[in-house]
Amino acid sequence: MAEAAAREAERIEITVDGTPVAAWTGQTVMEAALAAGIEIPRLCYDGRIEPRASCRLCIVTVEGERGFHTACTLPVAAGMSVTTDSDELKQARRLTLELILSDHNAYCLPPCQNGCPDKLDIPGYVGAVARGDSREAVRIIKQRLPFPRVLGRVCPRPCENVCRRGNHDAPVSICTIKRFAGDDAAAAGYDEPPFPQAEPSGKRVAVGGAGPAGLTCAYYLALKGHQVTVLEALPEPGGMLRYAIPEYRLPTRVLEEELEQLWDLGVELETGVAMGRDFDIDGLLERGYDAVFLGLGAHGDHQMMIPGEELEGVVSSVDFLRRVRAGEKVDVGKRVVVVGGGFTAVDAARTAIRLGAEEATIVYRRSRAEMPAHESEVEEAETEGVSLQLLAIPERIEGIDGRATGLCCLQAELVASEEGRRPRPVAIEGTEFCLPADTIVVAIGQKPKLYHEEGGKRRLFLPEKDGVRTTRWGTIEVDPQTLQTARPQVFAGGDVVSGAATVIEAVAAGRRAADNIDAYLAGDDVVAAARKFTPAEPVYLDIKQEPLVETPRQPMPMLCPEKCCNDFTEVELGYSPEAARREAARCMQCICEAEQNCDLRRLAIEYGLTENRFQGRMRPVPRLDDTNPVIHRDYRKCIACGACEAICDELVAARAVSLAGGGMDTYVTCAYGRGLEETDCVFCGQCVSACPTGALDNRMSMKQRPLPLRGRPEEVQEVDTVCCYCGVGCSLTLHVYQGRVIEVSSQNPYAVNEGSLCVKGRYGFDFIHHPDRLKQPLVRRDGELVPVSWEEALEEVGANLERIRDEHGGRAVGALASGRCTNEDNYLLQKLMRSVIGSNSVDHCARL
Amino acid sequence: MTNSIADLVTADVVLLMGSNTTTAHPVIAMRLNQALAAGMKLIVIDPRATTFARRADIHLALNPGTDVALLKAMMRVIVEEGLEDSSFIEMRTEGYEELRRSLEELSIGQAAAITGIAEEDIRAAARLFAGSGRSAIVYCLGVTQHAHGTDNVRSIANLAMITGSIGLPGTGVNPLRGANNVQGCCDMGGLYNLLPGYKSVEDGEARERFAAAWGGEIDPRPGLSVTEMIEAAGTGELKAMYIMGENPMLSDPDAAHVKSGLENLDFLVVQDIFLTETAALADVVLPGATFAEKNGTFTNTERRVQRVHKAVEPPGEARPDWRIVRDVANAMGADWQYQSPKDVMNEVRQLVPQYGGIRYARLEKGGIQWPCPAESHPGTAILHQEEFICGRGKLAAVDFIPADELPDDEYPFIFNAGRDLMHFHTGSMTRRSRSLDQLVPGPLVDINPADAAKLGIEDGTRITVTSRRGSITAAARLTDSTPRGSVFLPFHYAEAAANLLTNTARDPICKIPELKVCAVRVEKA
Repeated sequence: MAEAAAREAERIEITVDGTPVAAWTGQTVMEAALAAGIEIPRLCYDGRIEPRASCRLCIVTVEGERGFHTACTLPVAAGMSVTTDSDELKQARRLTLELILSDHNAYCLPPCQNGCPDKLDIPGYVGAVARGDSREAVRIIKQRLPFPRVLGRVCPRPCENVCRRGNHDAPVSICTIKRFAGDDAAAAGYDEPPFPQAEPSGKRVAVGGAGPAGLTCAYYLALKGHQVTVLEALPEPGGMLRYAIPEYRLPTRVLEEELEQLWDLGVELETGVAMGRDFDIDGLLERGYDAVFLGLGAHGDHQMMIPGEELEGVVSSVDFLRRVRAGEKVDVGKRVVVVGGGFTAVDAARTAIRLGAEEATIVYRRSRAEMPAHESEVEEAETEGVSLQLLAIPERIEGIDGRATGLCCLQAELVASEEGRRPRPVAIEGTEFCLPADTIVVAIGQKPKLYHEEGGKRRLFLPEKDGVRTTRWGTIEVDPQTLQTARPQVFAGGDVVSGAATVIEAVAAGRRAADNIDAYLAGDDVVAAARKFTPAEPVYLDIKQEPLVETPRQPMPMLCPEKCCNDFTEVELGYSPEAARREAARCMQCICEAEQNCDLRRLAIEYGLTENRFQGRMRPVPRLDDTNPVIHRDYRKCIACGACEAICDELVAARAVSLAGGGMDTYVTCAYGRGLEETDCVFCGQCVSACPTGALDNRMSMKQRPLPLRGRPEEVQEVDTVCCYCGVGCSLTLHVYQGRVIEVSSQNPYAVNEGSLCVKGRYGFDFIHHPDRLKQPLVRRDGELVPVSWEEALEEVGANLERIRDEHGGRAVGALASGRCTNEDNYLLQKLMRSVIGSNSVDHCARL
Repeated sequence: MTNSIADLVTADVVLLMGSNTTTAHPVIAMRLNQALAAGMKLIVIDPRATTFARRADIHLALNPGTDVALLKAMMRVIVEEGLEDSSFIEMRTEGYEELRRSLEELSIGQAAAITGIAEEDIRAAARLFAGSGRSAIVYCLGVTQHAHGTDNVRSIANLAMITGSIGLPGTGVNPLRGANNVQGCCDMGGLYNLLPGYKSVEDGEARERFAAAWGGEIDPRPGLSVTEMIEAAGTGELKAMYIMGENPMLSDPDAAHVKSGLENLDFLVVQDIFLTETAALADVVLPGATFAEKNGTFTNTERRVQRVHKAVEPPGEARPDWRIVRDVANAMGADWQYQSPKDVMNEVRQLVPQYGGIRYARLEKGGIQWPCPAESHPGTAILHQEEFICGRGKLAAVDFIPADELPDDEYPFIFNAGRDLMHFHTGSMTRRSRSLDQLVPGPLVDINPADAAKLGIEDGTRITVTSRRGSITAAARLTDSTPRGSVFLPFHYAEAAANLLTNTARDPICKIPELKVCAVRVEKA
């Protein structure tokens, strides 16, 4: 028998990836490698059960032998030389993973979160709003984005485009929910950071540019304990948020209130200082900054390159909006034409209306559906009197006496482009028409401007000697993962790297840069850190089609149109608390609970499988079974590795789990398709602990696990301790979140229980936080137990025990120690009895 | 346990006695399942057809309380057939002749009649146990909770010694402790007659050593055991009790008697995490901390001292228990300066030789099995490898004594109290854990379908079970696992407290009461 053989095992040596590894005869290569701390990729392997070799990810090659061997079943032999990592093995494993993933019908990340450039935990904060907890919602948002009130007003909301609720009725109004959470929490006076500010690191960082990228970077660097100075060329901080987005969309007051938190964290600001004019990279480093972040934005205008563009009355949207925001008196005349289809174009047109224009027309090359501005913005503009001239290609600008008088265009038609690109507008000959205009605003996009113009000469911000390289598009060159420039101390992000993009992309870049700069300042490997912070996410097929009750999206309350267009009062009013909760409750919470501990996801990320070429097959499996109080089963995530079946048979001997289907359609369920309760299941959760994916999960922990937990495993502390039930002394790992035990597992590699637990150990822990817990000492007064202070209670106990000891002798006192208390507790109790009271009458019930 | 949990599965045969392992120690059951699949043989001695009884090679379903007769008969077979380990007996034990003679007093036929087990089955079990290489004995409360529990354990020790089944891997006498730190509580002197480290209070030298360390004097007379304290409370001899983390109202025999005893005290202080049935009777209730809220150590059934790490804060003003006890001592004029459990363990290390090398920093990698006399000592996985602590192992002649209270015409059933898988002890923790409570929301009385049919009881029928001391009502569960003539009820449930029925008759030596056998009558409610 195996145990007898184990008693006679001999020590031998094998070689794994060139390293000598000690092994026992009878061991497998997997066992020997793991014991030596060498990891071999695996899904179905679990040291507690007989190896199954079903996932085939643990393949290795053996010197002098052909083909692959599965390490979990390959016995060691003296002198054997094993390779666990090679291009050939990687390729084979990659293919295996792709096949496994081809019908693993589940998301890793919810589509909204995946669609967000900043990967915000959207189901997390939407769920918090649905519970009425704006403070928690804001805390979740601020983990990745410091300005929920700003983004809640101006974000282009890419998340909503992919919201799965949109397949049923309408996408969840995610952005407005974010705005509500921010405004609601601010109104209640909550402005705490998402996690406590770290102790001062002694490091200093200079941030060039006080736009969304720079300010976000400054915020997270300050939270991590670094001293940050932001340098800004314009008089006030905010960048495009302050100078390009109109007041009616983003009130200055809101921006300034959200910026307060930076100054509270000790971020310093110098305005009126420009890169290349007042400071340069070398100068900053000489001034003692340890690192620099450049978030210089995109302040150059694209031009239409058509005749007449130089005429008076033709203005760039950025100049136009900046002058209005800066309070300059701007006369636009009666008729304004805006060229472009983005947010800026819509902003310019609506601003023109507010400046007294009688007509404002947006001219756009494609059709309405292709407009980059958000649908709601376009609708609001139309309500305010803005008209659209679609499918129009500007051809020339007419003018008299050097002043523009109109824009002439050709009608266009859309021609399909290559896949994935927007259709291309093509001018139709002979269709010219002209729009009369006093002012023509060109809003066709911006680009970074990395130079000053001085007397017609360009002076570069980043001369070659600075060592920061730029691209041929005039952007700063960075490593796309680390955001580090060619000069290691200098990082860059936002529009100056990407070209003009969205606020949320700039914020995401600022936050990622802060993480990476922090790693850089700590002397860590920046590439490794960046990979940890932003793993490439696998995206898989969705087959969930729960029947839903159609619930309309809550409309955004608006300032009535009669009032709105005379001044710059904010137009969108935001949700009431009731509307916010109703809207948040529409969220389908498309999350995978196993996200953080799914081995399949971890390997998919490691092997860079962000898309799946075999995707598309659907296995005919039942949806899920969430009827059991402790074990949640989601068959779509099952990869049929069989580990659960094996552990149930071999360790628990309950045979509650069995394979169903067959061939490619195999999945794991209960024998004869029954419910778990109808089998011999003892609810120990061993199957859950063996499952490499989210197919099996702890239902109670799922409920206990507050939604915001997802994506931030670092917020959960894991504490190894010993179980409070029977005498086996299993090692428990308590997962603690915000002072509460939310889950129990067994992670300690030295544990007497080797990772196994029973139903009580794994699921019997919510007594810890039960409302019945005694929280105050009680003393009986007039027959009733009433709460008292500790002083009073101890005094009462001390006085009574002393009285009885003195009157009747120590032997009149007895004590019960406890088989559930610690050694230290018990030692002191018997010492109290024997040395202070003078009685040997101490015993305990549990030994019975 | 003389041996270790990991070591158990290296046995060639395991004798499992009075242990419903899948219910009370499920993680050990998992190990045994793996070993069974790999070819280990299993003998189960239990009146109930437990899960392991069904998986066993031999199941001896003895009449409750007849363990000594059965073990004696098995030993007689072993000696008669020459299966004993003569060299072990000669080198390591004393008293063999006396034991052998005592075995002759009971024939196999007589034993078969007493135990209700066929002679052939007794012989087969004896041969399997003694003739199969390494043999380990594992037992639990089904062996100890009897008025003759000490005799049962001595008989087990006799069987282990005459077959040489001790001191080697895959052997041993291995009790499974019922609660997380019963072992440690005993180690620390939570016993009426033993000081920390199992030194008798009657041992003058030991008393002096402890008194010197603690100050004051230690009473040389043993104190009262739990059941004696309850009695003495009833008579007024005991005036005050300090109960920490125990709920005798549900865990001790004859609950009505426990209640009147506790109510008769002049002063009762209870320290617990919930207002238990016992705490509700107290004059002062002190809010303690759960295992998740304190630091310290637990010692498991294989003597492994393991570190308990605080994970969360206690609620409200609740405090760790060591701190409360310290403060009570100081309120009585002591000057205890312990600042942490570590300070306490450092004192234990000085006074308890088995714990001499137990330093907190050493416990992070899976703990240490005592005896561990010094910091350089790795701990002890298997006891009695070279010799017994007292030198030679004492083989003791033991006489069979029937249970204290046996069925009669008025109370025709044997009542057996035990445990459910989903709940623990008096249920104060598990019944407040939602999922466990959902899985098993309340008590069920197990009764054999044949008995049930005679009484007109069906699955789910409310039945009343009455003993000379009290009566409970609960729904019946018809199951073959309970033999005819007996009923079984877990003691976790206050609404049908098994200990309202049980007998306070106790073992004369260790004072453990007979919770496993008493006489009851069963009726439809």
